[in-house]
Amino acid sequence: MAGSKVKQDMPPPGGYAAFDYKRNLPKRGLSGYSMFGIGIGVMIFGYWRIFKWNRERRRLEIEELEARLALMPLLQAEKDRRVLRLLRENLEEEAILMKDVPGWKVGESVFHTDRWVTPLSDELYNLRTHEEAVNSRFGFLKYL
Amino acid sequence: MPILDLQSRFGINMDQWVLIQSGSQPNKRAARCHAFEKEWIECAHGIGQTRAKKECQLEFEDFYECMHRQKTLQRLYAIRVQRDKMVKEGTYTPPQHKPNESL
Repeated sequence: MAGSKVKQDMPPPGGYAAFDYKRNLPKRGLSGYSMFGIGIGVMIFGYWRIFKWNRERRRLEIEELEARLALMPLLQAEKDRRVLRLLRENLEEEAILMKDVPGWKVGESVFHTDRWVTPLSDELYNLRTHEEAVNSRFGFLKYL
Repeated sequence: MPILDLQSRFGINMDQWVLIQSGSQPNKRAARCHAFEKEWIECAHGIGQTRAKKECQLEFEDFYECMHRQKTLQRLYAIRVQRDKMVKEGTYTPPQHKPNESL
C-alpha cells in the first residue's frame, strides 16, 4: 500500500535527547590496603586495651588473695576453737548417755596413736539434727 | 619390685603418681590420711609382706580406720541409738542448740 498515511508513533523531530547508557562504575572509597590497615589498627588498639585491663584485673585478684591470706589465721583459729568446743560438748553428752552401757569407755579413741586426727563433720554433728549435719557436709554446694 | 622399671629408666612418671596418697600432690595439699599412710609405709617398707603383716598391724589398722572410719561411725551409731532409746524412755532430753550454726 503505497502512499497511505497511517498514524504511527514516531520519534519527535530532531530525535530524542542524548542520555548516557555506558556503564558507570566510579572508583570510590578507600583502597584495600588501607581498609586492612584500619582493621588491623582497630584490632591492635583493642588488644592493647584488653592487655592493660587484664593486668589491672590481675592486680585486683592478687589484692583479693592477699586479703584472704591476711584473714586466714583469724578464721582458722576461730574454726579450731569451735571444733574443740563441739568435741568437748560431744564428750560430755557421751558421758551422760553411755553411763549405763556396759563396757563402754567414754572418749575412747578408735586409733592406736594419740596424734591429733581431724574429726569428721559427722563426729561433730552426731548429736544434732540431721539437717545440720547435712548442711555442714554439703552446704558449700548451695552457692554454685 | 618392678622387673623392667622402664619409667625410672626414661625418667618419666606416667602412673607412679597414682600409687600412694602420700606422693606429691597438686597444690601441695596433703591427703586426709597422709600421716597414717606415711607411718605404715615407713614401718612396712623393705621387710617383706609376711613380716609387715605381723609387725605393722597397728599402723595398718589406723590407716584403714582413717580411710574407712568404720569404727568411728559404729561408735557414733551406738551413741545415737542409745540416745534415741533414752529419749523414748524419757530419761534424757537433748539440750537445745542454737540453729543455723553451720561450718
